[in-house]
Amino acid sequence: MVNVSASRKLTIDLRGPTGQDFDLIYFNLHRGEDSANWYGQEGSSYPVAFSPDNIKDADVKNAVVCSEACYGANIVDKGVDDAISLKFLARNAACFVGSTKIAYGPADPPSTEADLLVLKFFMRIKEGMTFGEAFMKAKQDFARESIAARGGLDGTEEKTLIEFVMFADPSSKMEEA
Amino acid sequence: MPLTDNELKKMVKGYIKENSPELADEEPTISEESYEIAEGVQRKLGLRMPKSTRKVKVLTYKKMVTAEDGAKIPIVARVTVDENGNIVKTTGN
Repeated sequence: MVNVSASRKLTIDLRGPTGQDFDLIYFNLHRGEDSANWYGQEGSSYPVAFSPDNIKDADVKNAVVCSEACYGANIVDKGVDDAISLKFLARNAACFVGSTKIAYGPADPPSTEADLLVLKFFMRIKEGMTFGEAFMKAKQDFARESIAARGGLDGTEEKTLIEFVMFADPSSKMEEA
Repeated sequence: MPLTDNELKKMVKGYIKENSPELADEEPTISEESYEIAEGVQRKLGLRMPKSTRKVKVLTYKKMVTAEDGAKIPIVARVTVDENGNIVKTTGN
């Protein structure tokens, strides 16, 4: 798994140290509603951390990609060169999970909101569920855990449930995609 | 007696200054929330939850910043406080 939570501009080689492809790719970056790129943060500076160009030659076939960037899954009026989500799919990633609007998360553990939902999704994928079932179960797990922690869902937790979407064949599994 | 909005802002100011200094000069919006979800969402999730009577106040600090390539990106911090002004949850993007 590769985890991209960056403050500086990156050149990312999406292959493992022994040449094998990564199967799970996780991003925790910023995005604007209309920007093609994703951004890191260093104080009050927001450098470009990842762009569609970073994967133009990458082998991400069958990868499962989760992004916690705001608008990470916003594809309204976007093409493959101005939405990283679409670029991953064009490069034959099997599944992309991201948010259509502002995504929230805690600064420190425990995981809540986007962090918790993505964690639950990866756990369900690892159990061998189809993408569709894993995504549905992850949302149920998220709701149960959030309710247990606070006795209900607050505004950002409810928004997280609604705004996170999945682009994939829901009947596929990671190893079959 | 419930805390006023100004009292809440004063109580949260230190947290914002320390943890989200880029938002320290922003004026928060303050809303009241209760922990509940709509019936329809509960049905979709296959969950049943009791109606909550617990109310909290949420202070939301938001601004748009300019990234190095000129793109506008939102920066948000939300601080949830209970009726006594204790911070019970913080989240941001």
